[in-house]
Amino acid sequence: MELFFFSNERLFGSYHSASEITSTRLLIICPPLFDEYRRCYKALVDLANGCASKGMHVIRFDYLGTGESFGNLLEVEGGQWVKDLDDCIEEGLALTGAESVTLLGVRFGATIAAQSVHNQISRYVFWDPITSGLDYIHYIEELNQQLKQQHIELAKIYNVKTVKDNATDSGSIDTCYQAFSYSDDFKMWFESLTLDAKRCENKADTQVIRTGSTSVYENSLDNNIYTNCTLTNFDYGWPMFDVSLLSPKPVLEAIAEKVLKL
Amino acid sequence: MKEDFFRYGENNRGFGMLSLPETMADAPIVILFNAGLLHREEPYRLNVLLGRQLAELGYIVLRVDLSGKGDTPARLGLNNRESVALDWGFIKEALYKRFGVQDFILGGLCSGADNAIKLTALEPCVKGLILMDPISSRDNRFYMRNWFRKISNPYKWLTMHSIFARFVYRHIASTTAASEEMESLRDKPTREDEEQCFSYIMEKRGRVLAIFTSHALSRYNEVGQYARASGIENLADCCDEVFFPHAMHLYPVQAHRDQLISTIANWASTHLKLFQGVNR
Repeated sequence: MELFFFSNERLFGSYHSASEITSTRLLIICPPLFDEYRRCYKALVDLANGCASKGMHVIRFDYLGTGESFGNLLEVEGGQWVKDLDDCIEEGLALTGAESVTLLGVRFGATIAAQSVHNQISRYVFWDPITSGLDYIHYIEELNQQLKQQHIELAKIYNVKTVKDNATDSGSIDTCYQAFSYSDDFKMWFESLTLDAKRCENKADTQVIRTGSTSVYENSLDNNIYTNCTLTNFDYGWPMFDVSLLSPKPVLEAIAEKVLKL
Repeated sequence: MKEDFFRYGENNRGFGMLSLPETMADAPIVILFNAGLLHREEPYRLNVLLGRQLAELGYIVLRVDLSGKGDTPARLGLNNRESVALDWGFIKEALYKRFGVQDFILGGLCSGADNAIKLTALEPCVKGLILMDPISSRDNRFYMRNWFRKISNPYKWLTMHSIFARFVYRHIASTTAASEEMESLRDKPTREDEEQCFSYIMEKRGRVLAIFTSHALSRYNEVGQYARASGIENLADCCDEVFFPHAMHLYPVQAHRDQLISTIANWASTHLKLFQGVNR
């Protein structure tokens, strides 16, 4: 595996070289966001190694302001992450000489992957995709509220000051309790995104893997989503603030099968 | 500030990332270890942002994946202590080769702090420690402070019924609190590790920064307790302690992360001269 920076040295990527160096197939992994990324990082490393050993070039990357890419989430503008993905595709094609690209989108990474219209995308594989940015933002805000409640409770139990009591800026109490801060422009863009797997299917082969562990999104997510693979026996869930890591082997095997099939 | 990749170990199997300052001459090296099973950036990008902030101040900062974590494959057939010690040998070798022989500052959250103490005890090549939620011993007055804190807190009286119910449930079901459960999984430093570690630090006239959150409340409840309860003579003279009882172990709230990073940056800035020019 090789690490590299690209897109004016702002974005961070990891390249897993295919076991057959002449391979013309490239897999780009669009990771999930925030705590979900922490939880499945190791699973994505294992998946990337597995696919590379089966003859596919693989690139993992971090969006601007996340992971090891430069910048701060607060400085990221709406639409930036789709540009980041397109830059990653160009970089990957130049680096590997590949002719076709498969995008693996995990959670909100799937929503971002679906926005790319790069003409060398030949397949989308979505793992527990989020179909509505608006719902996802609501969910994140709900989690921020939970954080706020937990900390107010903690402050009461231990008779200490809350964040707001300690804050020196004029931010609202809700802002003080965010897990991550982002701009209004970014939020608007985020809310506007949707994933329509059927529309993706018109552009390229589309595989959707759901595990029945999508927690709060059930209502909006999936009455209409196109799903070709449902693995219902995995109750690991995706909620944030869970300290455990995700590495569901049968799910990873199902994803690898969809990614690798000719 | 710029960043560069770091590889270590047999066939360069291990991965890490360096944050480099503008001026490299005399720059002290900080090594941040993984927190638990998390990869080198985490939790919540803490190591990335902390590393970059310290690099702005003039430090070289390495955040590294030890074997079995993040991008570095596991070593088979070794226990955690053996695997970490073997990794450390390779990490040191790679850093010496690149930056010359010098003393280090080790740091980490949770098991990252445990590893920092255990590795410092191995040989005298560490001059500073940044310990986030290390295991603290309880001193003689710990239980008294704890009891006083409880009885003087009106909220505790108001919620007495639920505290009692929880107490009964835990005894009937024989369950333990999450923080105790997490603590039981840690491969903690032994008493000998701690004594050897801090004796090396004091010999070198180094500094220790120990930061505690609500996670440590079952063992720690007063600034100064860590050094005092360790039983190590004069540790308090070189140990700065900070207590964030309102913060959670993994710092999920951005305001708390900012507070933590700024606390460590202030400490690092104050002691930059001390850590500079420590080539052996």
